[in-house]
Amino acid sequence: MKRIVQLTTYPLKSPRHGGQLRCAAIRACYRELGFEVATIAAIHGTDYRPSDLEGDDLVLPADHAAFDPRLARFIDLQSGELIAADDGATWRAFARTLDRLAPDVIALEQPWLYPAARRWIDARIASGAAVPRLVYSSQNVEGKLKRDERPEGARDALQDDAVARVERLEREAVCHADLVVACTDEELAELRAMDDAPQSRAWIVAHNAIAPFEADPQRVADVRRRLGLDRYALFVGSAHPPNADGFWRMLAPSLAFLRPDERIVVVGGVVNYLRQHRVYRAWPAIDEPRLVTPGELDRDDLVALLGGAHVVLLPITTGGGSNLKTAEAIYSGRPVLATPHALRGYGDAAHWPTVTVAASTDVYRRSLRAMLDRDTPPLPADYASIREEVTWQRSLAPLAHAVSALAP
Amino acid sequence: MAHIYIDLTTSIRWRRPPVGIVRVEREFALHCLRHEPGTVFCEIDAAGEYRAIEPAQASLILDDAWCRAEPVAAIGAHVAAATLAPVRGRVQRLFDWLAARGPKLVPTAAYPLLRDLGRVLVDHHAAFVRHRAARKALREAAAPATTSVPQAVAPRIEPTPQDLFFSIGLQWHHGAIHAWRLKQRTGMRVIEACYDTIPIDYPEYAGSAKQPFSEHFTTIAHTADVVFAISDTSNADLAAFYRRVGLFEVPPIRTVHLATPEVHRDADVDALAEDERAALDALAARDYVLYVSTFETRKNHRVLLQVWKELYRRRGEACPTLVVVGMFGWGVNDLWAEMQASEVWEAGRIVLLHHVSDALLAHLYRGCAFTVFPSIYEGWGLAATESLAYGKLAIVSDAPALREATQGLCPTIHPFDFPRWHEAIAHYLDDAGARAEAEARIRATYVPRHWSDFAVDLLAAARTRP
Repeated sequence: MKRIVQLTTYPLKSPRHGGQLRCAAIRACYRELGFEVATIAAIHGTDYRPSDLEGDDLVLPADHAAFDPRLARFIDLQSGELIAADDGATWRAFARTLDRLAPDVIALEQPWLYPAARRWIDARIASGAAVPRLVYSSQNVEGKLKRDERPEGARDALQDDAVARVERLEREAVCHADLVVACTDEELAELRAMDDAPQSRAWIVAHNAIAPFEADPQRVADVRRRLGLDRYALFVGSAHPPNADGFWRMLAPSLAFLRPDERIVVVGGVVNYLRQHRVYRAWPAIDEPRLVTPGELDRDDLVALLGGAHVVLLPITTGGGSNLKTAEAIYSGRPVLATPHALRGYGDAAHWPTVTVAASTDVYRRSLRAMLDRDTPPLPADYASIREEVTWQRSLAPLAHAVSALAP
Repeated sequence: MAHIYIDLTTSIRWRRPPVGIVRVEREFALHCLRHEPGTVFCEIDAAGEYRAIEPAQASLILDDAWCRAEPVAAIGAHVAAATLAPVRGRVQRLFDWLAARGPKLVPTAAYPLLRDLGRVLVDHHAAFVRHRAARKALREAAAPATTSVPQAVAPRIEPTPQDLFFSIGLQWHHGAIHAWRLKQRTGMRVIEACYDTIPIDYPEYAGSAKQPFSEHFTTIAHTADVVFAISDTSNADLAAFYRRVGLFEVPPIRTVHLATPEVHRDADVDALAEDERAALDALAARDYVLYVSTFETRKNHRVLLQVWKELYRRRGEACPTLVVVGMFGWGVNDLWAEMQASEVWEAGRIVLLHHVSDALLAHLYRGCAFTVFPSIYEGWGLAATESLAYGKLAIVSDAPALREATQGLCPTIHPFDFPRWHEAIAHYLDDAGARAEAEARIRATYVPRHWSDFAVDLLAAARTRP
């Protein structure tokens, strides 16, 4: 039986954001294959609650001198570098855990902890011990993402150097892996282009997906009543500024085109960014009554909101990987209004009968208006099988096969 | 047959001399009361339901007496103390006392804050008193009709899809959403109003009203079958707002020019109330120029203060009086302080009159040398047209709606062009011939509009389907 250790920078006990959900699904997939799986999450300070942590997780003190507060966007990068460069308790704790777990496979989720893994592997090589195989899996091309997300006006040497370090790290992780896993065909090609010897390792795509769910009609009715909803569109987004940018880029200049009884329900941490956005601030009295913001919801309420939505909005305009929200929206069977970017990793839009794609702001807004004006169209007879394509079971099948095939 | 429904909420709650919008609602309602049989009047209740008002009650509300609750109040360095002692409410008296002793009781720096706080409380108290009086009057008006039947809640109105529902008052105070809900329920044809979009386009002159107005106009875009605009200027401004906020479908916006306010050419001085005669007598000593407008920042009294300071410096005792008729508005604290500290104020050459009745206003128009209207922006300019109706020259700002309202008959000056304002006012004060010539041209050319013209045009605009 293979022993696999996942290395992440977020805990998997109570997965919420996209990275956690993907890693947790991969862990479940490995376990279904009969592998023994452990996870070491290197956590920065108090970014997560103690109750969210598992036994092997490693908390790095936020006030450690190695963390540069000017590089807040690069905490993950600094976490890996800190462990790899440490000569004290942090490194000893990390190495002891790996020694104890004695993995056959180290699965890096994103490149951040590669320097620490490298140090541990090098020590194994030096001592003549067995060396585990390395799987590099990422939901983004991190260097590119960091370069694209660089805030306006932040183009200083320090930021540029950090981006260059991410790019170097990513290339090294790819070039030393036995198996590289990407989220989309496009990103696989980009990772492959970093490698001088791509034929020496395996390459697969495992797009993001979701666990099957079903909305309970009673719960749908309850949540509608509780939130005072009639006809509504649903937008789910985490507290990530580009989520708010995409929303307002596709719905600007205001939500005035929604009738007084129509709402957009916004779930997740993005709501604060929505209200801070310059587009919102131009016409808050128009926009605010048209928004319903219940904040973070438990899974059952979110599923109920999906089940009752007239439209599920995917106004995603930036970011890497394939979007979990897209899979969720497709699986719900409700009408989906997406940008082309939101469909990254999910192939041709024509394949998904519930999805309407709008590339420009005007078309997006007009499409939303039209979708709210008409009754929800019936689903095609074969939709049950179509939506199975966005489940983890289907998307991780190539990964399961590839990891099983890795020589011990 | 289609019925007419008119939301009278604004008129019911307004117990002062009517400002422009209140007057429009009242005059239109009055026309329909007299000429459109079966018209149903209604009021929004606390739950947002429209409830019918009996015609007798509507008559009471639309009577002039409904809007003449307080005696005229004159404020000026001389007239206020010498001739008039306006009745002051308890709250007002309390703050008068505090204002008189403020610097002794509190640090000087805090005094403006205290004064503003006083004004806010006084306004709220006055609104409460008016509301109480309105409810009492309504109860009294309803009393004879209900002596033989148990007191009951007025019925909820139930218009049909053929019926016309006019909602043309201060709906941003009462909530345009109520008409939207009623339309969803009944399918009635809704007519809403756009007087101007100034709070949106010039928020610096409208306090914090930009956002409520943006929501108001958005709601009526989803509600109205026709929006009537009082000028081509307001029409274009509303259309521009709808483009700015990205509305796809907007109702037709139809311009219906307002009427010229009713002229009381033959108003008799003897018919004036005592307080009104006192106010008029105080002005009789010398020439005066009239500005009928709320005392607020957008109306640009500042340029007039500068002109009058200059006139007083140059002319001394021969300086004419500037008479400002209107309520105290928003954003003029500094100007008010500057005005009161000026020599021209001290000399009694600026007088503010509040709570002026139509009859007193007629005398003020008749007696003035000419009128001024230097407002920075307008949706129409009712007072400028009123001046023309009295055959009086009005020197107006070059705001587009003022040009439109005055039919090109008045000198126009950029609102911030102090030298030209001074020059024009001095010219027409000194050159009686030029004044007479301008008045003759106005009398020969100006086409006044009656409220019945306005009402007929509004009904036609409402009934015309695209």
